[in-house]
This record gives sequence, C-alpha cells and structure tokens, in this order.
Amino acid sequence: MLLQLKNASKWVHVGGNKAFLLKDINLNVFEGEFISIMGPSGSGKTTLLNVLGMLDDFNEGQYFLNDENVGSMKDKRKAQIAKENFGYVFQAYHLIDELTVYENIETPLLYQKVSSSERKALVADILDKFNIVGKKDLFPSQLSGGQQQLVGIARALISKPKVILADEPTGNLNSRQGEEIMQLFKKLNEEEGVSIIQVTHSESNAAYASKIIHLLDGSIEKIENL
Amino acid sequence: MLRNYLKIAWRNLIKGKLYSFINITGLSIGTAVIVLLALFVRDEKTYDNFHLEGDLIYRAWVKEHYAGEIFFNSVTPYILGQELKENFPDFQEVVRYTTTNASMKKETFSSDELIYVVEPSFLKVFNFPLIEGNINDVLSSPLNVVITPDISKKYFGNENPMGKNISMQFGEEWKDYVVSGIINPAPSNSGFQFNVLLPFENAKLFFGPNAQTMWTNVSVETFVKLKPTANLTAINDKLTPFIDSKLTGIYKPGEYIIGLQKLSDIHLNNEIPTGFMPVGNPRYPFIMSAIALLILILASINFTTLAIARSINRTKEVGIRKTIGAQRIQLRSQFWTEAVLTAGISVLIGIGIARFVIPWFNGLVDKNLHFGFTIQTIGFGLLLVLIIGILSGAYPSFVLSNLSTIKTLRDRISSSGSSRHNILKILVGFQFVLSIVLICCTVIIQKQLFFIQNKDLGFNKDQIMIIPFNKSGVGLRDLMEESNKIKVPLASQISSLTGISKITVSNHTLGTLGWLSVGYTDQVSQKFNSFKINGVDENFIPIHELKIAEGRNFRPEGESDLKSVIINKAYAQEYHLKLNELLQDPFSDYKIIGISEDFNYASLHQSVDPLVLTQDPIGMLRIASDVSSIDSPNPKISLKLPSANISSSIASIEQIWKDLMPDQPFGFSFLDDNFDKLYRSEQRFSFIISLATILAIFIGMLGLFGIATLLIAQRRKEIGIRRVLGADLKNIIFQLNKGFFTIVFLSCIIAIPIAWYVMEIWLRAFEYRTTMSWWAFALAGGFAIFLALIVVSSQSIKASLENPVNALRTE
Repeated sequence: MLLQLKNASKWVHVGGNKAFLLKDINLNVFEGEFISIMGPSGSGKTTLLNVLGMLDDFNEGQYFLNDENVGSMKDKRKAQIAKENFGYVFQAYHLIDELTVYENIETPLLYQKVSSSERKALVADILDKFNIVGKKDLFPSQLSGGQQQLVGIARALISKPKVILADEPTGNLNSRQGEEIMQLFKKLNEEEGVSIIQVTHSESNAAYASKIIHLLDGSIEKIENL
Repeated sequence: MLRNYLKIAWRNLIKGKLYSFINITGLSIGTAVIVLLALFVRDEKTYDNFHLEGDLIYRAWVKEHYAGEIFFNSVTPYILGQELKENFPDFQEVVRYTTTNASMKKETFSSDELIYVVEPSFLKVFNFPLIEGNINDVLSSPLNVVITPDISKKYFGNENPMGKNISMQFGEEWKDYVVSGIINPAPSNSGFQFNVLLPFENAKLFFGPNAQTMWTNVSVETFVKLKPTANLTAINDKLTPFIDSKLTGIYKPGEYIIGLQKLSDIHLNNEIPTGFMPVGNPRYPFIMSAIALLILILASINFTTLAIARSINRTKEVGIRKTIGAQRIQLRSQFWTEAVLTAGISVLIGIGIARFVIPWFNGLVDKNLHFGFTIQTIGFGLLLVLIIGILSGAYPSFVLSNLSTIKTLRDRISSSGSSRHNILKILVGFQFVLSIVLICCTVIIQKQLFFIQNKDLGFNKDQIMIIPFNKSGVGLRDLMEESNKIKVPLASQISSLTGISKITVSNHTLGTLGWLSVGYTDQVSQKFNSFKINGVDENFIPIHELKIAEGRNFRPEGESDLKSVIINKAYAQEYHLKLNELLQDPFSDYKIIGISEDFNYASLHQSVDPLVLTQDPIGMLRIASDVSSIDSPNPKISLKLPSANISSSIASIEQIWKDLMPDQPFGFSFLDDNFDKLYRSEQRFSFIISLATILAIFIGMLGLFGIATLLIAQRRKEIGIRRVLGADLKNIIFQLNKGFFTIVFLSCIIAIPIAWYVMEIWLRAFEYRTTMSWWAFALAGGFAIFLALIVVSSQSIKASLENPVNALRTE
C-alpha cells in the first residue's frame, strides 16, 4: 500500500468550539491508482489533498507512507520523503514568473543536487514528451493557461514522483484545454504507472479516475469505484 | 546552483527597477561615504607608522611643578638628549631636532622657509630615504644642507643642486651652506613635514648658552630609539632618580619628571601638549566612523524595509519553491545572493563616486588622500560587499524562508496587522530618528557658528590688514626697535599715497590663539599667577574701535606713557585694581591709566583672560619669572583699509614696504579672515555634518518613497472600495498618510532628547555659546514631517485619484 490514512481528523477552534475540516478519514491509496476527490465548496477536498501531500498537518489519526508512520518523522525527513514521492500541480499553475519554461522545470532538480548534464537530459526529455521544446525559453506570462499547466505538470513530473497531487488542475482552463490535461493524466497513469490524486468539481473530469471519493463536511460520504 | 541564484537575482533586480534604483543609490552613497571616511580615519590613525621598528621610538616629555602650577611640555631642554645618550645604554639612538623660520637665498632669489635643524641620527631613526647623498655623511658638516626636490626646484630650477651653495639668514648674518643631499618629502601622514634639513650644530646660532645648558628652558624635541631588548618600565624607573639627581637643589624629587610617549601615540593624543608636530582631534576619527556607519545603516535599512514591503509579492514564489523541494537553506542562499549582488553593484558604484570626489574631499578635510587598488583596498571592498549583503539580506532570507508553505500558496498573507508591519514601522521610525537627530544637530551647529560670527566681540574686525615683520633669528627686542623706527616713515608714506592716516604696531593681533603670557609669583600669597600682555601703541585702540570704560588711551609717543598701562575689566576684577592705581607687585612700576571693556581677543572657545596693554612689553617681560606664548610676539603692523579701492591700496602699501625695507618679505592677512580661521575646524565639522544630514535625509526619503509606493499599491482595492462607498479624496489621503505620520511624530519625540544631549556636549567646547532654543528642534522636526508629507502624499494622492473601477476590476 502506498498511502494510508487512519482515522485522520483536522480541526480549527472557532469561538471555543472545534470546527472540523477533516473528520475521521480512512483512506487507502495503492500504487498506480487514479483517484478523484469531489465535493461541494468547503467540504475539505483541498485540505485532504494537502494532508496527503504533507503540505499540511492534521490533529488526530495516523498517516502511513509506504508503511512508514509519517507522524513520527522529523521535519527534515518528512521534507525528503515528500520530495521523493510527490509532485504537485495547482489550479493557478504557480510557475515562477522570473524563470523561463526550461528553468521552471529544471528548478526541482537543482534542489535535489542533480548534476548539470543529467539535468539537461531530463529536462530535454520531458520538454520533448510534452511537445513544448519550442517554448522552452519563454516566460510564463507569454504562455496560454493550458500551456502553463503543461509546464506545471512537467515540473511536477521531472523528479519522477510516485504520486501526482493535483488541486483543480483544470479549474482555470477552458474545456478543450481541460480535456487535454485529463488525457495526459490518464496516459501518465496507464503508461507510466504514476499514481494521481486530483481534486475536481467537474463530473466529466472526475470520471477519468478509477475511484471517486465524495466528501461532505470533512467526512467521506461515499467511495465510488468506476 | 549559484549561477541559477545569480540569474534570478539579476532578473529581480531588472524587474523591480524602482526598488533596485533606490537600493543601489542608497547603498552606493553609503559606500562612497564609508570609503572616504575610512581613508580619512586610516590617515589619522597611521601617522608615522611607516618607520622601521617604529614601536621602539619614543618622544620625551617634561612635567615641571613650579610654584604650585604644573608645566607640561613635549618640547624638552636642549641638554636632555645629551644626558640620555651618555647615561642610558638602553637607547640605541637619541635624536634631537627643532624647527625655525629662516630666509633662504640663491643669488637674487630669496624666500622664507621652515627649517628642520636635526641631529644626524634623525635619518637613521626615522625612515626618510635620501634620493641623493649618503646617509652617513649628509649631515656631518655643520655647513651641509639637505633639501627636498620641491626646494631644489624652487631655488635651482632644473640644475642639479648637489655640491652647490645656498645661503640662509640667522640673525643679521647670511651663511653659506652646501647642498649635500636630496631627500624625499615625508608622506602626508607624518608629523615631520620638512623641506630643509640642517645639521644640529646650527641650533647654537639661535639658542644662547643658557638655553643650551638649563633644565628650565625647553627648546628641542627629543626622540629616543630603544634597543629591542630594552624594557620600558625599567627605563622609566631609572629616569626618575636620574633626573632628580641632576636637579638636586633646584627641584624637590618628583617635581621635575621626564616621561616617554610612543611615536604612534603622538598624533591622536591631545592630553600631551602639542610640540612641533600637529596633533589631531581624536574625536574626529570617532565621529567620522560613526557617521559612515550611520549612513550605511540607513541604506541597509532601506534594503530591508523595501524587502519587507515587497515580500508580499514574493511569498508565492517562496511557497512554490518549497513545494518543489527547496530547503530553507537553499532559499536563504537565494535571498542572500540577491542582497550580495545588489551590494556588489552598489560598492562598485560607490567606489567610483568616492574616487571621483576625492580631490574635493581632500580640500574639505585638508588632507592628501588617495584611493588605489591594492590588496588592502580590494579586500576592504569585498568585506564591505559581504557586510552590506549580509546585513541587508538578513530579513528576507530569514523571514521569507521560514514562511509556511501552505499559507503562502493560499495567498492569505495579509498586508496589515502582521508582525512584519511592526518591524517595518520600527525600522522606518529608526531611520527617522537618525535623520531628525542629524537635522537638529545641523541646525544647532549652524546657529552656534552664526552666533560666533556675529557676536559683538568688543571691537571692529572689518577691513583691518595685518603685515607681519618676518625677519627670523633676530631677538624680539631688536625686531621691535626696528619696527618702531620704520613705523613713522611708513605711516607718513602710506598716508600720503592712500590716505590711510593711522597704522599701529603690536606684538599680537586680535583673533590669534596665544598671546604673551606673563607669569610671576605673588609676593603676598606665594602663589603663581599669570596674565596676558600685548605691546601696543596709541593707535591700537582707535583702529580696532575698542571701548575704554574708564580713563584714557595712550598718548602719542614721546609723551612718556611708557610706564602706563591699560588693563581690561577682567584684569581689574581679578586683581581688585582701580583707575590710577599701580599694578600689583612685582609690576608696580606701571600705572593704570585706562580700563577697557572686555573684548574677545582670542577665540570664543576661551573666556576673556586678564589683559594688560602696554607700550613697554620688553620691560614687563623682564620682570616676569615665566613667559610663554603660542603665537609669535614678533611685531605686526595693522591698519584699516578704506572700503573703496582695496586692491590698489594694497599694491601701494606693498610698493612702499619694498622701497623702505628691501630685505623684509611682504606678506599680509586680514583680521576677519584670521577670525574665521579660528573656527575652521568647526566650519569643517559643520560642513561634514550638514552633508551627512543631506545624504541621510536623501537616503531615508528614497526609502520612504519606496515603501509608500508599495504599501499604497497593496491597498488599491481598499481605496477603490472606500471611494465607491463615498469617501472623498481628503478622507482617503488622510487614511493613507495617518500611519506614516504617527511614525514620524514618535520619531521626533525620541530624536529630540538625543539631539539635545549630543549638542549639549558639543557646545561645551565653547566659552560663548548660543542657546538651544526650542524652535531649533521644532524646525528640525517640522522639516522631517514636511518632507515625509510630500513623499507620502505624492503616492497617496495618485492612488486616490485613480478610478476605483480599475482597482476593483483586477480582483
């Protein structure tokens, strides 16, 4: 099992009362799975994704990654584990405005101290695969939203993560662009065995997954296997 | 990795042009100031540090207890050197020297020169390399002379002077000397600024037999060079009993002390009296360093405050970098790279500015500084880059890299109420405090200088021209006789040519620091007293428009006012004397015929001391048991020029002078200029403080402008909403300015007591000082508020005039 959440809860205090963001979540993710998380606004989708991606903490329960208990890890080890296992894709792309396409994709490798020749090879590879070689010297502001998200995904994939965590990856895109991104996810999942967990509002996008988790008020309402 | 950091740093620099401009401008000005002041401080701190084994060289001083007073001198008795040489094997060399002015002549060309009369070991103890001549014999014959290339050029033109004759006048006599060597002039940071070196035997030409043998007569500076094995404490222990044994019967043990002062200590130690070498004010290097540091801090604060204000735009970047795997240390390195890059560019520009303005700065501080690219200066530059970079990059690198990932990505970092804003306020407030303190100081210093220049000194100093009798080596008495003889024909010729009816001859002119001081032991109390005297004639009082409170002026000569004196009120008060009484013993030959109002004959740093104006200074000096003066008492002619045709009058006077006294060089100065010179160091100080203030304000306002721009830009939406809700412009501008004004106002409250305290200390150096009026501080505070108003309002008005629809649409 890749990821396992056991009885995880997260809350904030509002005027002396606990307001639950996540309540007693039990979730298992296996390697190679494609999962969509759905639910109305405020149901805790993004929080769940952030907890899974170790960007956010939780208050109660346990989280195992490759059967290792995340809760007992030191911060440094956590960061290391996150770096090795997760690639993040955001609704607002979150590219660094001052860097070119090439440099944006290269940056995670810099932080992992990959040698310069290897970096070149890896980035060239992925630019080729995503068909954006011609755009490599452009800055984010010179790209369309769909292209920016492609770069975002390329950047998430460059460090060969086991899981892609995508928070409404198509939220800022038109439907044609959105579909392209979904096709890409599907291909990555099927051909390369990358696990994908995405938060989405769209039924049609959710349907690309093999499993849909419906959240309501911080709890899992139902899990739908497709 | 570093290349990547540099790339991003560079792009950020280009992207935020305004902020880069503000940062780089501030930091490069700061650098320029630091470089210049560091050169100044280095020059002051390295006086005479270039001599080989300089730490073995010491100068002797003398402390003499006499009739209850202490006489402290760094000029020593003539025989001290001899005695030390003979009795102290611990000294490897002893060298005596003295300086004197003498006329120098080659064929028909003559001029006045400062002569260093030195023992031959002078060239061995101190490192002044010869260009020509042999160190062992250039000064071996009494009739040798060693000159610098400048002097050679002046007297010999392009000829080689070696072996040629040049004559010098001591007393009435001209003597021929043979040029035996040419020597490099001393570096500018040396106390020995010689042009001409003469062998020490020549000192006997102007020091009589008494001066050469008596312990109570100081005439030369004595330097010793210790053997490397010698122990200073042991030498000091030996010195005291040795001197006591030499002076038994004259002084009790411990009343006459010889001590040693390190060569490197001479320039900045003003506790030991000045000898022949100039002594700097040890406070100046300190003040200069403080100012330099202050300006640099101001500029670094700009960097930090702007970084804080901008950080809102950079939190997103931090968040992204963290999610894709950046560690804190890597983010820190990135922000520090940016700061160091900015610092590097600024330091380069700053050094450029410094090099460009050095000639001007040299004129200002009266030095000869230059900035060369040596390992030392390059190292200093790199150090500066690192210090500025680390200082100014500290905030962004620590705070931004610690932000929580999830919060930064949610864009929920609000622009108000956070602790970041408190830091911002404190830093901006700190800048204002420093600026306001500086403004206050500038105002008070200017006020004091104005006070000095406009104080009623008790006389009129305008258009009084002074011509000194310059002949050197002649006794004071002979010189005075000569000047009195020449006075009558000179006066009548000047009067017929220029219509100037009166001239006066006096030992001292007004506005000089040290008039003749006459010391004597009071017969009744057995206490040592002293007062100032000036030998004058009947025209001295009318020419200077001095006021006589009681009695009368001197009558023209021949009417036997020789034994009459005019005292000032301070004298009358000190010695309880009245008009027509005789002076106290032992001066009771002299009768008081007039009492003048007190006038400030010296600088306003000093109070008005008891003073006697006499027509018989030589007679009074003879009675005194101790005579000293800082300024030469050689006679000087003063006359009042008519307000029209000043230059033609001066030309006529020069012609008359040259006709009457062909061997007397003609030179002149103006009394009011001499007065200004008394306060030159204050004026210089005031100028530097004013300049520092202007720079500090400039840097501070640049920073404030940047912050106002950023913070107001971040409130665009709020402004838009307020406008839509019906707020008028006045209201919005008030809202935007309010925060800044609270800061400026609080800064005033903190700054004013600090400024008051600092100025209180500074003013203590003056006997006559201006009051620290409240309006000076109000003016300074008001000025700061006014500037802040302009800077902040320029941005807030712009923001409030914007169409609110634009601001709201972007959301």
